[in-house]
Amino acid sequence: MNHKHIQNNLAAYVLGELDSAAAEQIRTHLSDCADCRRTAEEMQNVLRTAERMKAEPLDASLPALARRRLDETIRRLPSASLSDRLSHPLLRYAAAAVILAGALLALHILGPQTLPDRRSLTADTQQTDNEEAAGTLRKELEQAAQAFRKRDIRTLARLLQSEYESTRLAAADYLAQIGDASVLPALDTLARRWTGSGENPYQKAAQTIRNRPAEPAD
Amino acid sequence: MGDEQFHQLVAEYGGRVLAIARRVCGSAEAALDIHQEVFLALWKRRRSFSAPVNWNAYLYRTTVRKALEYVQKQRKEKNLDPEYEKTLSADDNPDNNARAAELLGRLRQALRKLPRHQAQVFILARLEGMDYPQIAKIVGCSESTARVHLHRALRHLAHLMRDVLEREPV
Repeated sequence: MNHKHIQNNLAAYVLGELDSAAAEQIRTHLSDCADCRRTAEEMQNVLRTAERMKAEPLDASLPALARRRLDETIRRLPSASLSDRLSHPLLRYAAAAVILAGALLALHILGPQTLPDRRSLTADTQQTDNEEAAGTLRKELEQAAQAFRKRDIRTLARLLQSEYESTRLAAADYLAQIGDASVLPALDTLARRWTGSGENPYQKAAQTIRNRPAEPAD
Repeated sequence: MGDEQFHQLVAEYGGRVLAIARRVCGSAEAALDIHQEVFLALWKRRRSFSAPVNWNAYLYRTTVRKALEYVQKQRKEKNLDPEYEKTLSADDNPDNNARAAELLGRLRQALRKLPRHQAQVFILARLEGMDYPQIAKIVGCSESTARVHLHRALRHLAHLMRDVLEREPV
């Protein structure tokens, strides 16, 4: 090996990656070449410093502290974006309800006789044009989904009184799955007011609850 | 990725993220900041991860990158000379002698001057104790490329630290 070749292999030598024959050639060269010897020593010192860096102790309390800081920051984050929320399976219904409302509005424009609830849909659309109202609707839909996850029937019953049809439909659908007799009066009232075509969603929700076998008492 | 999986990742990899950041940056506070930065970015993007992800590679790569960026940024903000690293190491390691602290500081300073892949490979190999196959998976290169990166990194570091290394043997 010539001087240039030795220099190119010094790192491999210092790292112990060369076979014994190649390592011996390097050692022989190093005994005669001060320049390469110095470079090899510098590399070995770098590796020793890295070993010392690797050995620096990590404060045992650090992981718990880091976790607390992270949890706290996440808790303080502004609520997630609409698209983020709607990626949750439980919220897909809510998204569908909003889309349905839009579709029904389009049908209304093309043929008013097909509208299920002209006043409420128009009101929803006008209000959702307003950023603040759109935020309220999003908030209500999220509340409904959270209430469903927590099986919070009282909150879902309250959301049945929302001024937004989308919220009321979402709440009714959730209540059909987890609601009890306490919400039947509110659902019956909404069912009576329903003027849309096709199946009455509030009546269907109330019927589902009535058909559900009563849970045995503890 | 769901919230539950996110929290599992934090539990599984949080310690390693802290350890790398602590070593590369030289302070516990920096390690906390980087831990927060890495996982907060992941939290914000968690819904976008639908396909399987090699979390080990992702988190190692991201942590090393952020740690090197952090040191660079901190140095720029504080407009400090190389002596800064000396004090940074010494602060967290009061028992270390000044010479060792200086060398650690200079190594940190030199690491961030390396090309990114060389710095990544050196950190994974020499501070995390990984072998070439492991490094290749994380960095996204072949094993032979990882080897070349490590050799070059070592040569570069020796060159960058020459003035402090040649004063006296460690």
